[in-house]
Amino acid sequence: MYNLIRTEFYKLKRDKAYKNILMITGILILLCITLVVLKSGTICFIQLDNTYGFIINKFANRKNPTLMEILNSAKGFSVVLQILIMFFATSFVLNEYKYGTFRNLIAGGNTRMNIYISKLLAVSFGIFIMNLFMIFGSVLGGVVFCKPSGFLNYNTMLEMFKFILLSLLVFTAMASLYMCISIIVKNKSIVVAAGIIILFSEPLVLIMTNHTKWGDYLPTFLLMKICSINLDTRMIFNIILVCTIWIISTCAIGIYTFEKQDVR
Amino acid sequence: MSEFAIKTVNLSKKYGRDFAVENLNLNIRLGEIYGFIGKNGAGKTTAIRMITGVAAPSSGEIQLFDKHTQSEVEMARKRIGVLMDHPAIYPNMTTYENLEVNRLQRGIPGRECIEKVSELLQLEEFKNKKVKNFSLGMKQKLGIAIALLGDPELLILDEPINGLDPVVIVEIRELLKKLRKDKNTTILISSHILSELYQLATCFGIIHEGRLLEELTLKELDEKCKVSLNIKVDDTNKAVLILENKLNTRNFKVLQDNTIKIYDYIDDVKTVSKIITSNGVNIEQLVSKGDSLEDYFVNLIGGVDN
Repeated sequence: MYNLIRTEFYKLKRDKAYKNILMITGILILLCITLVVLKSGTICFIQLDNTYGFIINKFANRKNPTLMEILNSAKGFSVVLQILIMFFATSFVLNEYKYGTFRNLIAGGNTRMNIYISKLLAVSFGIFIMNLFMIFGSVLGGVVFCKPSGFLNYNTMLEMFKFILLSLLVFTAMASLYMCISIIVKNKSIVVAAGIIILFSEPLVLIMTNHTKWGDYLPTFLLMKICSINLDTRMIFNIILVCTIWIISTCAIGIYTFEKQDVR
Repeated sequence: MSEFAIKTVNLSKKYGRDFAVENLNLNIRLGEIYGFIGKNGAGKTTAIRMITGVAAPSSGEIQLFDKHTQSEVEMARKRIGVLMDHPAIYPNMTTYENLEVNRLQRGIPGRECIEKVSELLQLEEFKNKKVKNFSLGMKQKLGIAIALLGDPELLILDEPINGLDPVVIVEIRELLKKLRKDKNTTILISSHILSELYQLATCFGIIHEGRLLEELTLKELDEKCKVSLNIKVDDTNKAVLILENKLNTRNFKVLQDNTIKIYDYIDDVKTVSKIITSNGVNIEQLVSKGDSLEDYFVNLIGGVDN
């Protein structure tokens, strides 16, 4: 298992799709800072009952933004990050099928469960770096270019790490779902199409059918909450529990399917 | 001490109602170079895929280094180097990176093994070149290099000489022979180029329509392919009776195309032709000929039409 994890991290370091995604994250950081500097209006991708959603560039005093507000703006870009994660997770798995390299891993005497788990760990680590880059990049950029009131203090740092860790859990649940679908379907276009449908139909269906309470069990809704609400302990516990269940169940299905599969 | 590197017991793979491999019983001893022969779709690759764990058998058992249980077999697979179909490589990585990924995955300590295989297969000058720009032959060489990483005790090579130029084919052949001689590496190799296999293998397995038709050593093959008198006559049945009664030989066989191969009287063609014709059978063709592995294979699977 240790060898497999090392291998996956080595591959992650050289993964072209991942490098491109980090570049796009860099562009998102620039966009986040530019919007603050240009004092543009608020952008809402999805907002529910004026309470939570993916909200970018929302400031109490647009002329004098606080660091926490810049951080919240950066959090709003998670709506884009979740799409990037979909491409990253699917390509990280499906390229192995495409290049036939799963065969080397299996023929090397590694169990399929270990192969799957090590892949998920590498994807999760990749997401962590991406998230860290987005949040720290935006905040540091904000400090340099926007000169916000309130410096990088303990509370801001705590808020940043709380967001990074919780969103990492949600993103990992999402990545695990995409990995599971990738293993079952083995076709990038279908997986990406299914992923986009899941991402966008999830809030739409729940809002239209007035079942937004179910959102507490869906990763996109949980992400929206993390991005825009001050979470209490009960909510944090709920997020951790729901995401863990998502990860375990999708991993179980993915590993079961992979075990039964004839790899080409 | 294990005796067999690979042993399969009634190994079968079914796709729907059709058997890709049916009751395959391979016996590959340690230190052998086993030539796996069969035409396209005969089941060679499917068998190799099952042995390497890439495909699950429908029934039957695989033993590697005399290990039987699933976990033991998986552990034993760590002692194998594999090249299947087309080489499994990452096109966006360089030669070195591809070798490094495989080194890490197998947990081989130190990077010396990369230098060693690069040198063996003359890949040093392409060390930092991206694999996507490689020709098929170069990719195949890299695939072989990956299989050779860490000196595996068993090498499984499925069509390894596809796309290689004649010079490299000779180099690979010599390299495999050297590995067997110096390190007693067991090699399972499948190829369509039978002349090449004949020069390399010490043992052969012939598979046809998913079934193993025959397993024989090089010595046995040579014995079976020895020089014979090939006779074509207008009445094969009568000729067979003449051979048995007048020439007192049963050391012959009748092929699918009615050619009679006589292994006696090789140096006495005159007597054979005289006795056959004097008994009212017309000879259409009479040649003295030794079989190649290709002829033997074609005859065994039932002629060219098959």
